[in-house]
Amino acid sequence: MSVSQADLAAVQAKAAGERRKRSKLRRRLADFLWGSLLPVALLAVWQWLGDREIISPLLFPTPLVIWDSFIWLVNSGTLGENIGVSLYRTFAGFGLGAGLGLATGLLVGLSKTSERLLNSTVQMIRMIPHISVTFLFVLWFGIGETSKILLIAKGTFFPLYLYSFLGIRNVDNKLFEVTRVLGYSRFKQIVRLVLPATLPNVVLGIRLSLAIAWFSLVVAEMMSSSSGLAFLMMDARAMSDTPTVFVGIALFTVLAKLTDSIVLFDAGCCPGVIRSGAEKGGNAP
Amino acid sequence: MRVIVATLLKIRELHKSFETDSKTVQALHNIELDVREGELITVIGPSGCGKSTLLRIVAGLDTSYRGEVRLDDRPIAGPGIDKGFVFQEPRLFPWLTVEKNIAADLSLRNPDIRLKVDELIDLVRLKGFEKAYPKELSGGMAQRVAIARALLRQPRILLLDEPFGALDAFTRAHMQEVLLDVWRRNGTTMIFVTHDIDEAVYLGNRIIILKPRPGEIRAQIPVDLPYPRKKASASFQDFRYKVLSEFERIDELSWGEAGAGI
Repeated sequence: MSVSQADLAAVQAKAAGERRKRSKLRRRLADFLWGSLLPVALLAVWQWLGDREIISPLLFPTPLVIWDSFIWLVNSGTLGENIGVSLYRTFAGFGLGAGLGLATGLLVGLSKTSERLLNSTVQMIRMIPHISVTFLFVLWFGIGETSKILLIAKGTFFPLYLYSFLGIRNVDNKLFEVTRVLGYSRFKQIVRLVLPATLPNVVLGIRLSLAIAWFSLVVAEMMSSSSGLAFLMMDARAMSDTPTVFVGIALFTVLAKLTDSIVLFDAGCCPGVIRSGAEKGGNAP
Repeated sequence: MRVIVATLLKIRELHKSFETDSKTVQALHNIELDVREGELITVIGPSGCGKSTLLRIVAGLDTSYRGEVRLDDRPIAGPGIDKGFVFQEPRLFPWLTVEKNIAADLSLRNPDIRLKVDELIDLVRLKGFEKAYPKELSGGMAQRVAIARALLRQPRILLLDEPFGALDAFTRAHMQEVLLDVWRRNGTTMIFVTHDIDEAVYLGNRIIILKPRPGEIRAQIPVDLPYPRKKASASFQDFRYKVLSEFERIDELSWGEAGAGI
């Protein structure tokens, strides 16, 4: 009797678990539907206004026209080719700038000497309006890939520099004391405390850097280029092909959102980032 | 019956003062203390009496003092694994699971460490929470992880700085049981700082009473009650009164001093 009761309890628990899982899924779906309500409504109004010719078809081509233009660009192969070029530039520039930013930020964070030597210079260069040097970069490095990649690299350097530096300096002093009583060497303190504790800040830096990377790409490609997504938009603008401009804007939005989500997803897989919230029972004074 | 042997910790003429911008504050004055191996000492005193400072000096976290502090007859050079420390808060690494927090820089892949960590998890009653993260634990559980972490290194002496101060009364009573259990089984020498008289009497072989400004040892009361102690028993209450009356004398003294100053 008692065994069957236990079994019954187990089955009930399992059923409850599945019910919970299903209701969670349903809630997510509902959230998604609520979230899409406004954009869908806006698109519908936009389409309706365009069909009624209340808004100019040249300045505001309707969503369906933009969609057609997108399909045409995909089929002709132009879009794939240009997106490929743009992606290459973005990631080459991001890799270079963010990598150097991270390395420099960690160095300056870990060593007071390098902070005194480097930080004020970096902070000053950071204040140069990012876009103002585009023209010079083209003069110095030509209209080829180098100038574009370097412009993106310059932009992505600073968020990672700042946030990794800040992350290191914000490592909880109380945890430092713990590593001291546990007899950690200086090396172990860095690898087992400073770096994991800095990770959430580094992820934030990466997200900001990526946003700047896309922004810099657009500027670089619009200034001087014969390929890339932003060039495609510039080219279309010259021919008053506004639907293609809209396609470009939409694609940039999607690409930026996609890369950001990938970073967040990767960060979510690594417990150091999602578990970085205040410690239970606390480090409060 | 526990056989108490050699002196493990020896403190002689310990003075400690803090420099502030305007003046020098004396935190500890002429502390003399011997701790024998296997003892469980409780240190009690009002806030500002320097009890945490004393503990930090023994831990090697604070090395600017005058006087002599020797562990195993060697002067204390700095912090290290021979001196376990449990802080007021758990201070766990938030990105590590319970078992990894206990192991910290030691590898769980080492079967020896694995075995010891499992034993400790059992000892501090955290079975089933090995893979939990600190934010999923209650305050009492997190503090037990911190105790296990300190014990894994098999310290010569375990220093506890008001470790149960932030816990509610029920959790605190439970934690006291856990700690006594650990002490009985491992025989680790402990210095336990608290501001709770019941806790001091309940846990200690000997109670050190500190008086504030400057921190000085007012009295040492050996507690020869057998464990487990009954908080409601008459003999327990006797010790409680002894400690309380020492505090009242401290109060009178400081009132006297204040009065003289006026």
